[in-house]
Amino acid sequence: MDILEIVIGAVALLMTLRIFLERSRARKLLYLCCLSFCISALIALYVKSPMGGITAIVYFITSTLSSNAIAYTIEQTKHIE
Amino acid sequence: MKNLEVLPLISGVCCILGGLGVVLHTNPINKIIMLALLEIGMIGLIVSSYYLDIAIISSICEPICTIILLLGYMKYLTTIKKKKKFGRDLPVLSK
Amino acid sequence: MDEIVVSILKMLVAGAICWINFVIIDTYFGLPEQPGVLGAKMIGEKVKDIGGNLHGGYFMGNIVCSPDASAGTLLASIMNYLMGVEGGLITALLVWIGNRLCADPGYAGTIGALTITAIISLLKPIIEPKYFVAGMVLAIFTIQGLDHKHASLLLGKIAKKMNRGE
Repeated sequence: MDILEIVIGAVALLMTLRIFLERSRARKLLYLCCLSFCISALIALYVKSPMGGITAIVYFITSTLSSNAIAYTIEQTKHIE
Repeated sequence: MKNLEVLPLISGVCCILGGLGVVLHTNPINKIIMLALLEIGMIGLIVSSYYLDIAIISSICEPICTIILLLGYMKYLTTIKKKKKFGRDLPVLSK
Repeated sequence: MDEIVVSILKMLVAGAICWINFVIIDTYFGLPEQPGVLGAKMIGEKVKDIGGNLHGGYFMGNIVCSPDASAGTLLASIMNYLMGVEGGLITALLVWIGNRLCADPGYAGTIGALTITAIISLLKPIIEPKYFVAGMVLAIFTIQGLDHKHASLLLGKIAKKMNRGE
């Protein structure tokens, strides 16, 4: 275990707990964005080959797509309710 | 304890907390956010055993199923609102 | 024991460089001015409700909803660590595609990836690229994860100083 991986892992663990305990829906998305940064960095440090880098890039871009869709739906449903 | 890695540990914690959160939360959007957390853990576990191509495919398919769930939720909300506007005592889906 | 202190110091310096890089590029391309997509507007108003700044909230919402210079910085440092200088150019192309998928103009992401590639290739004898990866995670943690109210106040102050947003 490297010191860099331990630091990133500590940040990721803190973010997971804060997502689980947070009440507001919009602030959960901010923590989720920070968690996907951490996981993307961990993937690149775990798999030390160029294919791991491609995996990290594809994972990060698609996770931003997903949170974009969730935020759009929260804004739309506020008008409906 | 010697070859304990960080990525499988974090992914396991994400999977467990995501599964608990899907069960415990009551709002549908909170459930979908927790499902995204579970998918993050799943992709991390796939990567930690070096199946990189499967990880790429499943991370491409993840926003598609999230979008389908969200479309279904919005359709459901508009259906309830239309039924309430006419004010009849129809058997509504939500009851 | 001495080695660990040196690596932590390198990580903090790399984090400071990454923080300055992505905040200045994102502010220059006008992220705090208006929400690019509809979801960013909701996050900005929510941050304003808990006592923060509206333009700092738009900044944070735009980071969540589309890959901007922050994502470009992280992914370019990853590919620099794994492949060398060519990886930074590949990252610029992929981040531009991702920006277009999220319906954003998307110049901030590519410019951020190219500038961090230049900075890493200049500083390579002193700080290795893997310290930039961990430093970027710490930099994004100070904005998105630690305290939303004070972070948005700080971002609003920077945006006001650069004439972007009120």
